[in-house]
Amino acid sequence: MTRLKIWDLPTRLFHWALVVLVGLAWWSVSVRELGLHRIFGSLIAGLIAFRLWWGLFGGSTARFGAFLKGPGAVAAYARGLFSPAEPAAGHNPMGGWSVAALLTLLLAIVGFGLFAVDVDGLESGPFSNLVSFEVGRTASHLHDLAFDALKLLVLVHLAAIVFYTVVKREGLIRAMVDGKKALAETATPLAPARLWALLVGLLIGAAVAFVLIKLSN
Amino acid sequence: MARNWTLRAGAAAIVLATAVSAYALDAASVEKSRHDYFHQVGRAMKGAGDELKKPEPSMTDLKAFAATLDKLAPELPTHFPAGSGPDSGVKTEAKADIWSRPADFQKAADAFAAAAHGFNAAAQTGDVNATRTARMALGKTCGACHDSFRNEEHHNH
Repeated sequence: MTRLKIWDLPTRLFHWALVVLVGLAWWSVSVRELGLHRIFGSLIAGLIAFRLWWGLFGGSTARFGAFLKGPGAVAAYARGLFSPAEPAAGHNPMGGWSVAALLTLLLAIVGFGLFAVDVDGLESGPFSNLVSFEVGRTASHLHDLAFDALKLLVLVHLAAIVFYTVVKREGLIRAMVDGKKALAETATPLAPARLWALLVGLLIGAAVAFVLIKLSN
Repeated sequence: MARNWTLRAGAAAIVLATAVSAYALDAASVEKSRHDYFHQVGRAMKGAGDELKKPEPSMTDLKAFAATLDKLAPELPTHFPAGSGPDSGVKTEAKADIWSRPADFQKAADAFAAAAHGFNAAAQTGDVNATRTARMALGKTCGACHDSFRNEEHHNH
């Protein structure tokens, strides 16, 4: 076993920035700072845009094509979940779909949030002027509902981390911090992305966040 | 005589049942018109907000939304007659506190009406910034009343 690099820095920064920003977005709405909530939401939208790009042009382990496996692979992995196995050099076949589900929910939350209107008609998302009060209210309910689903999925995510740490003895948290994981010498390490892909991704993410923040005021 | 008693009891039961169902129906229709009323308020608030987001808000439209709110706000207490609360069995976000603390509720409703009047006054001057400030002040009175007297809705509509 040796500690091999599996997560590139942009993927790790995306992950932890997302944790912080989702927390801040939750906090800001609970203290009714909707101005801040729109800023955090816009930044999350920028992160998601970056991650979607990174899923196509990022490091090898961040690519959707690398971690979204067919039902056969997922079922085989699930059957062997409790038996000893080589740790995955990236997302395992079940974890990959969990990432896809998390990203889809975040996309839905941000998407509904853009059109959401609060019960007083006072606070609203940056595109809410395109819809009626009633449609905006429905978007707001769906925004809440998708966030409830996200909270459930985050609990599953945390439970999985506990399971892998305690039962399978894989250092998932440490891997998401320094990018390295204890793997067999023969495991395939990360193939990093090209610099231009990173620059374009950052530009896309920043542009999305910037435009949404502008429209939110 | 026995037959007479049965008849009388039957008639009384029918009268009672009708009264009860009429009462229940009444609470439901009050709830519906209350819901519609708050949608009108919400539409006008959103309309004004949408206008204020534009680079060049139309003062004509803002004045119209503000006048609507000024007209709607004072009728708020009339949408909460006794018997239209959660105890009536109707599904409502109105808290029982509305009827158990009538003075506080009236105070909150008065604050709303006063702020709506202030919003209208600001809009009629044609000053966009003053209108914006007055709309936020009006919005605060919505939130303040909702904190005390309205239950958070749970994904229903």
